[in-house]
Amino acid sequence: MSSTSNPTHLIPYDSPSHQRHAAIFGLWVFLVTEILFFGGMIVGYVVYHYEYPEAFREGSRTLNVWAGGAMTAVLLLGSLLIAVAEHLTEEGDRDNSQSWRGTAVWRLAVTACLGVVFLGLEFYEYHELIGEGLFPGSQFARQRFTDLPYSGRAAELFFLMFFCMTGLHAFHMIVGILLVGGIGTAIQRARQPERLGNTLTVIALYWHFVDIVWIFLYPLFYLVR
Amino acid sequence: MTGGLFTLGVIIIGGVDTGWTFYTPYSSTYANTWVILAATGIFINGFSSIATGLNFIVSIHLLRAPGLTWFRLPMFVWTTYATSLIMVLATPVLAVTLGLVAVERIFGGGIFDPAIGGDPLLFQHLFWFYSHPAVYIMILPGMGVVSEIVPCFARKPLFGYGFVAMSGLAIAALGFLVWGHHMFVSGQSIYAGLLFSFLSMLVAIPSAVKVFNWTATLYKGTIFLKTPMLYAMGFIGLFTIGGLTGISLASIGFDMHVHDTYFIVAHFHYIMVGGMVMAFLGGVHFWWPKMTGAIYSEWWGRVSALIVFLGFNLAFFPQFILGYLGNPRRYHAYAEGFQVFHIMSTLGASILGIGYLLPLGYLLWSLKYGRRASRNPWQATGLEWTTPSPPPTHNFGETPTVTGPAYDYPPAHRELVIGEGEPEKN
Amino acid sequence: METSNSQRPLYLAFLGLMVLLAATIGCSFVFSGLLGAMVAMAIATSKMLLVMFIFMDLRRSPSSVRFAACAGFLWLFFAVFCTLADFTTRGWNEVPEKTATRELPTTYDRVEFEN
Ligand SMILES: [Cu+2]
Repeated sequence: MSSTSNPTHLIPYDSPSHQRHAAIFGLWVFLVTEILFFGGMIVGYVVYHYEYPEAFREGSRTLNVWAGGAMTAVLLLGSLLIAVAEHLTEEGDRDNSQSWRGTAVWRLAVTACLGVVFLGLEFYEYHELIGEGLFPGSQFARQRFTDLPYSGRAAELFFLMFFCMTGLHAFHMIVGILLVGGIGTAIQRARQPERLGNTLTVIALYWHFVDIVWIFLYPLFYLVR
Repeated sequence: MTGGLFTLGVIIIGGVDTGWTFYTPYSSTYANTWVILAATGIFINGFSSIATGLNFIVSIHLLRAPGLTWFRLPMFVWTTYATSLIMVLATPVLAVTLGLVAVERIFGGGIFDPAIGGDPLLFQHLFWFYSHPAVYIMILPGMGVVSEIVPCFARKPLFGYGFVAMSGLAIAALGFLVWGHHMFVSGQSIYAGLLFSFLSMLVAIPSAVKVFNWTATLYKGTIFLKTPMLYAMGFIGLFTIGGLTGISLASIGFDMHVHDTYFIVAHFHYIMVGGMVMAFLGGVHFWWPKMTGAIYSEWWGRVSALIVFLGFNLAFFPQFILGYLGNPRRYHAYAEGFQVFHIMSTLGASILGIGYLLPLGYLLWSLKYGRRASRNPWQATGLEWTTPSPPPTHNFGETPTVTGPAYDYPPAHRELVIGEGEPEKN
Repeated sequence: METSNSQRPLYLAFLGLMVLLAATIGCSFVFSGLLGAMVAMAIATSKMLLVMFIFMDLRRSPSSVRFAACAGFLWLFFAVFCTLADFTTRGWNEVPEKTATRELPTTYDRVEFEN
C-alpha cells in the first residue's frame, strides 16, 4: 500500500490538515499551561508591586532601559524571521519546489543567533547586577535602599522577582534556541523537508510565546521607574 | 514514575516534616528535611498530569468517532474533559509555587519570607489555587462513573443530559474561584473571605444539578440493584451528605467553629471516600467484565458493597459529631467524653477495611474461575460494549460510527437478565 | 526570493511592534505610577495581540485554538483577581480611631505572651 510506505499523516488522523490542527491545538493547550506557569509568578509580582510600589520604582531605576529595549527588539526580529521561515515552508509545500529551503534555513539560523545575543545581553546584565551586590540573599546591598520598608530589604523582593521571572524566561529561551537550531539543521538535512512543516509551526508558536512573555516582562521590570 | 520515586525516596531517607501543604515560612525557612527533593517529585508528577490532561483535551476535541457529536459523548468523557481542564490549568501554578519555595531554600530568604516583606499567605493563595481544584480532579471522574451506572441499571436515559454535562464544566470552572475557603482563619482579609465564601456556596448549584438529575433518572426506572448500582446509590447518598456539610463549611462563622476539627475530616471523607472511592469501586465492578472478560460473584459483590457502606458511615458519621463538639484533628489524644465516638469510628474503619479486602478476593478469584463475559453483559449502551471482552489491542477493527444519543435505553421489563456470563456453547 | 503577498502582514506587524516598543519606552519617561503602569500594560497587550494574531496566525486558526488561548488569559485573570481581592481589602475592617470607644487589639489572631 502506498499510503503506509509514504504516509502523509499518522494513524489516528483522517488527513494531513487534521493532524496539523491537532498539533497546533495541542501546542496551544501547552502554551496555556505555560501562561499559568508564569502566571504564578505574575501573581506574586502584582501582589508585591501593590504592597511596595516604592521598592519596585527604586529597583527598576537600577536596570538599563536601553539594553532592555534592545533585547526586546532582538527578540521581536527573531520572531519575524521565524514567522517568515514558516510561511516559506508552507508555500514550498504547496508548489513542491525546493528553492525555499535555503532561505528558510538561513532565517532560522539568524533567529537562533539572535536568541544567543539576547541571552548574552541578559547575562551581562545579571553580571553587572551581581557585581553591584543586588543579587538577593544575605549579601544584598540593602544599604542602598535604607528609606524603603524593612530597612531596604523590600527592594530585595523586586530583585527576587526579577531574577526568578527573567531566569525562568531565560531557561525557556535556551530551550527555544536549541529547538530552533535543531529544526533548522533538520530541514537542511531532510530529504523531504516539507514534512517538517508541522514541527516548524509548533516550534515557531513556542518561540512567539516566549517573546510574548518578554513583551510583558520588559515593562514590568524596566519601565516602572 | 520518576516523580513517584523521588517522593518515595524522600519518605525512606528521612521524610518531610512540613505536612502535606508545605506551608511557608516553615517549609521555606525552618524545615530541615528533604523539602526540595519532595518538591522535585511533585514537580515531575505535575508534568505527567499536564501531559495527560493535554492528551485527553486534544483527543476529545479532535479524535471523536464519526457521528459522535459533543452531546452524544458518554458522561464519563465529559467529566474526564472537565478533569483534564483542571489538570492543565491548575498544575502549572503549583509547579511554579514549589519552584519558588525551592529558590527560597537554596538562596536563603525569599519571596514568602516576612523578614524582607514577603507574605507567607501568598504561598497559601498559590497553593490553594491548585489544591482546591485538585479535589475536583478527584471527584469529577467519580461523578462520570455514576452517570454511566445509574442509567444502565435504571434502564432509562440519563435525565437532563445537557445539564449534567454542563454542570461538570461549571464545577471545574467555579472550582478555581473558591480557594480562599481554606484560608478563612489564616489572616486573609475578611472581605476576600466573604467573596470566597459566596463563591464556594455557588459550587453547590452544579453539584445539586447532578444529584437531582441522577435521582430523576431513577424515578420510574426499572431498577436493578446489581453491585455497581449499589455503589452508585451509595455515592449519591454519601456525596449529598458531604456536599451539604460543604455548604455549611463555606459559611465563615461555622467554619471558624469547626475549623481544624474532625468535622472537616468527616466532610472531606464523605466526598473523597464516600464519594470517590464508592464511585471507583462501582466503576471497577461495572467495567470488570469488559476489562478482564470475567464475571465476578454477584452475591459477594453485593455483600461487600453493603459492608463498605455501613462501615464507612460508622467510621465517619461520628466524626461530624466529634468535630462539632470540638475535637481537633491531627492530635493523638482526646478528651475522655469523646471516647465512645472514637470507638465507633475505629470499629467502622475496621469494617470498612474488610469491605475493601473482599473485592480484592472475589475479583481476583473471578479471573480464574469466573464465567466468561459476553461483549455486553449489562446490555449497556456505549461504544466500549460493542467490542469483545476484554478488548483487543486495537479496540475497534473498524472505526465505529455513532448514530444515536448516549444512554438510549429502551423501556425494560423486570424479567430482563443482565450481568450473567456467556451462555454455555456446545 | 522576493517578498510574496502572504508575507506582507508579517513585515507590517514587525514594523508595528517596533513603533509600539518606541512608544512604550517614550511613555515610561512621561507617565509614572498607576497611569504609567496602565499605559505600559496597554501597549504590551497590543504588542501581544499583534504577535498572536499575525505571527502565531490566530486570525486563521480554528475556533478551538482561540478558545484555548482565551482560557489561558481568563484563568490568569482569575488567579490575579482573587488574590488581589485579599491583598487590596486588608485592613478595611480596622475600626477608625475616631469612632473607637475603647482600646481595641490591633490583631485578632495572635496573642503575644510575655516571658
Ligand atoms: Cu476547597
